[in-house]
Amino acid sequence: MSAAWEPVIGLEVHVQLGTASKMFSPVPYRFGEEPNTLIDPVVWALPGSLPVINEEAVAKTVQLGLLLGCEIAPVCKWDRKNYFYPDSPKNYQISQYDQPVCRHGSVEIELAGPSRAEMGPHREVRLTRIHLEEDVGKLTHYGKDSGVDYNRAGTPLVEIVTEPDLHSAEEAYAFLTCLRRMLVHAGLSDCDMEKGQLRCDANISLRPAGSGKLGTKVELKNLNSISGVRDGIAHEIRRQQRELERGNALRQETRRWDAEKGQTREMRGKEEAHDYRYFPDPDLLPVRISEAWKAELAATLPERPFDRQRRYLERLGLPYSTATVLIGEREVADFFEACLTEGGDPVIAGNLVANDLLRERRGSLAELPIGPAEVAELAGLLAHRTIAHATARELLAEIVQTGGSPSALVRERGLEQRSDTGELEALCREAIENSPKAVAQYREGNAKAINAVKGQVMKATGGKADPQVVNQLLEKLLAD
Amino acid sequence: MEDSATARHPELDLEALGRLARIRLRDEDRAEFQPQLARILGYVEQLSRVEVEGVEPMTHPVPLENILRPDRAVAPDSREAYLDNAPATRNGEVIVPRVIEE
Amino acid sequence: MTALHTCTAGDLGTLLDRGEVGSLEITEHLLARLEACEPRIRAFLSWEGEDARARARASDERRRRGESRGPLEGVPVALKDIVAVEGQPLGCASRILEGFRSPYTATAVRRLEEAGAVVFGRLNMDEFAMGSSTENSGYHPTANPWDNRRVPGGSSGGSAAAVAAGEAPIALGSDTGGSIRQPAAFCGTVGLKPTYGRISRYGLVAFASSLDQIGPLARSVEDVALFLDATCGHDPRDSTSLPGGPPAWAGRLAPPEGPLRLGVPREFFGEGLAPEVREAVEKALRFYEQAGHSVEEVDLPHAEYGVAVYYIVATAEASSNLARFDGIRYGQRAPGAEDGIDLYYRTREEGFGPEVVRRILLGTYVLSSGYYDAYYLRAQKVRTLVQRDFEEVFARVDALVSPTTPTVAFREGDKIDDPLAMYLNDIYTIPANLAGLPALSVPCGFSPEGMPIGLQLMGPVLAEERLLQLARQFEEGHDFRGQVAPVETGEGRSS
Repeated sequence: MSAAWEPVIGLEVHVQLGTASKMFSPVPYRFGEEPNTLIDPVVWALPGSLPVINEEAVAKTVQLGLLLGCEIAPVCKWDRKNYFYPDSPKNYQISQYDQPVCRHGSVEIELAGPSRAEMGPHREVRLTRIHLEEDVGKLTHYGKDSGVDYNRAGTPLVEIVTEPDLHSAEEAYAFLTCLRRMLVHAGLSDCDMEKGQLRCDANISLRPAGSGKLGTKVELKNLNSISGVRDGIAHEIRRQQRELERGNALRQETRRWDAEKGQTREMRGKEEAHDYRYFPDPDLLPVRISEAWKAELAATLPERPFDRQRRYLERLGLPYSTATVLIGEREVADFFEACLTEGGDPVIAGNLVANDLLRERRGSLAELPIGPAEVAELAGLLAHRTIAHATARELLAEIVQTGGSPSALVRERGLEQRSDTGELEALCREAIENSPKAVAQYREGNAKAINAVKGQVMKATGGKADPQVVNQLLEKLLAD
Repeated sequence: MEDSATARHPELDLEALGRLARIRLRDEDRAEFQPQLARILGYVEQLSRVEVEGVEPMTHPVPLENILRPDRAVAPDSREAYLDNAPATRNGEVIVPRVIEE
Repeated sequence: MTALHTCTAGDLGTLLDRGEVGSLEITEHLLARLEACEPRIRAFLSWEGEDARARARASDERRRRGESRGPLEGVPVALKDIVAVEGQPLGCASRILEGFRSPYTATAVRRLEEAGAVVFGRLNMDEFAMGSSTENSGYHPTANPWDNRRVPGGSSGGSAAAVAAGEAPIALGSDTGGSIRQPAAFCGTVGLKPTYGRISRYGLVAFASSLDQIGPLARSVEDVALFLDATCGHDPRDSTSLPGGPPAWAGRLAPPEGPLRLGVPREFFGEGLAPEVREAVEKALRFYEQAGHSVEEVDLPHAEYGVAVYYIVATAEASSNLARFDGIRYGQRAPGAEDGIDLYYRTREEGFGPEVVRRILLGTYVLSSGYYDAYYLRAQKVRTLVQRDFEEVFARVDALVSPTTPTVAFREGDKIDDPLAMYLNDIYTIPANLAGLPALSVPCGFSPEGMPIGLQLMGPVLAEERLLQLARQFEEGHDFRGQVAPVETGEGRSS
């Protein structure tokens, strides 16, 4: 990307809230059901049907706003967005126009660091607004005709609109990743893009670097996965740059990302800008969001992922690579913190959970036969150097399947690490005598040659020697 | 008289309105409706004389708020009666002539 | 025994309770009456005799088992073609819904069923409730039973004509700008529009959501109260439904305790009011004075803007409410569409009548970009002023008395070519819808040509009981209770 052009990107993200019933009707929503089986008069827009607001959808939207530092409207209202399309049963969508639930706020994002072990810079991406609306059905094109399935029609959607604060495809990727994590952590949505639970459109323009004005904006749709968002935006930025460098003017238009072909193309049949004729929905009354309600909802919110991460890094001293894995899922972070309550050392327990436990588990942590107490126990055994790391890993892999107490197993099977210096020193002398070549290489400056000698000691002890002690002894002995 | 009423509302673009409302209007329909609608608009013009400074618009005659439903799912209706009413269905979907991507 | 078709619902209830007649016999009698009258009156679009009989039999069976559900048990109630009944046609007298059968039942109808009523029939109306004469029906006009060349009023013209002709004791209608009260006045029946939110709109096909209300037409005040007792009350499926349970007004129709202050809005007695109507209303005022109430002139300064406000707000809401009629999920679909979008244009052109199209276009216009502020927003502000006028007036008086309509029923064809002239029929009825107030019409005499004249009573929010008592008092002092128009039936005899 030539330094001459600065991309300016704004995102419009639609997230399906995880409620038990739809936004304006009490019918449930489940992905993948037989077509048109999740319907009632309201969903089908039968003559005479009327909407009734789902309280939980409002509650979750308020919670989202609180998490993102938004201004929550004291009173919000509902408006009809009028346009005709076969997937929209009423041919108007109930949405919020001038009094949405949330305004402003921001999403904290983390960009990639210089390496995987180093945290990248954090930024706040400002939001314009968040409002609540209903989803439409699904239209499938069959060539000569099209089919409509209204199962999805009427599910609650929050629309999150960002300011044009993003400046690269990577930032957009980071934004979606961080937003998704926050939504899933707070139990507001599963955000599964394959199930259409999170959808993203992007508005992309380029401007000369340093310019304050905005360039011609292109809307990009059909970004169906988080990597698709990144790839589609990156492609569109390159396309716009090519056009501008050729001296061509860009048209304000809507384009569609084709992931298979790796290109964006014009959307045919897109008419001139819609006149949605918004007006307040006469069937729905305003919703007043009291301070008391807000406080009640705030009390049930979990700590934000990046706040946890900061706490892990700054107060618990965890390395970034561990902390970032732990905050990946709320369940994992909660499990880790429970290990600390059980007395586990943060760094050791953190490492066990982030690396070993996650590798071994299948499914939810709650289903495992062991819990934080066992992991804390294991961390304690490591902290006291009672067992070697390799032993700990093997034990963990076993008890994740079959359960059991680590201390008991260590005792029963005599898995303790051997760190008696007297005993080990004798074995080290023996190994040194048996490895003249390795010793010679070591004395010549090849530090790694010591491993061969060490290996013999480990073998002689059946792997149970404390490697650190063996190292120290060998170095001492070979220094003479 | 119709002509002057129409003249007062030259912006009454029935073709554009027909598009917004998705109703096809033939020439004879437009010719019939134009003066009628212009006359009605002329009649409602009197509202511009009313002093409305500081008056809140009334969207609901009932001063209710927070009419909310608890998030409990109920069994959906069986789709038969619904699909029976649809002019065209296939495999449980409602079929329409092919739609250009929007 | 008095001919059953001239009995009020209250009378029928008494006969049923005494075991003098069964619901099936009543229903059969009315079906026969229907067959006899309909060639002239054409109040109904359709009716399902077998279904009505089955309901009547079920009612008689309940009564035999001692499980009578109340005063409406076994009483036939006819329905305007605007409310949903599961398995029955629902068309709003529009071609665009031809063939559609509703998969669900409206709350108000369900409550009538739960009260034991034998609901039946699809009564004619102006298409999608847009009109004041029933001439806008997509099928055929309905004749006024008092003079077949005249209109019955609208949009609940079928409901009024059926009741006036003795085809049903009670009919369900709907009122958005006067569509119950005006036909009630034209046809010499009682008709009431409740306070907005009293009766659930779930299952009422929406025309103008902030104005629509279901209500009864009947031949007695008691019957109106019986209908309201059965249907009023909170419905969680309608967010605009008022809190509170069902009322019990039918037993409380004694005259009002103590004298009431009655207001007469000056603006409703201006030019355009036919002299015979003025005379009948003034006579009615004298009756109330003699009964001990006081009468004083009041002002509703913004009432003159009512029609203008209505034709902006109602058409705007209607343009959106009627967007769902597209031939995709139900109703008629135009053949030969080139693609899915063309389908909309053709279906809606072919399915909607001209008045519906006019109003949708008008409603679309007043909401469209650049015009919203000048039209819709401004109209909603003037609406607030109309409501404020009433609040101020009701601080001083207990009820308002006025004519229901400026004229008696006009001849078919007289106003159909001039939409604006047609709209001005609703000039006295519209303000109550704008302010969400209860209002009713009672017959108060006849014109020299023998056409009924209606007297309108309006009250503050939730004042139905007071209005019903005033109406009942009027009824006691006059002789319109139970009146059935002399209809020349198919056999050539008047009944």
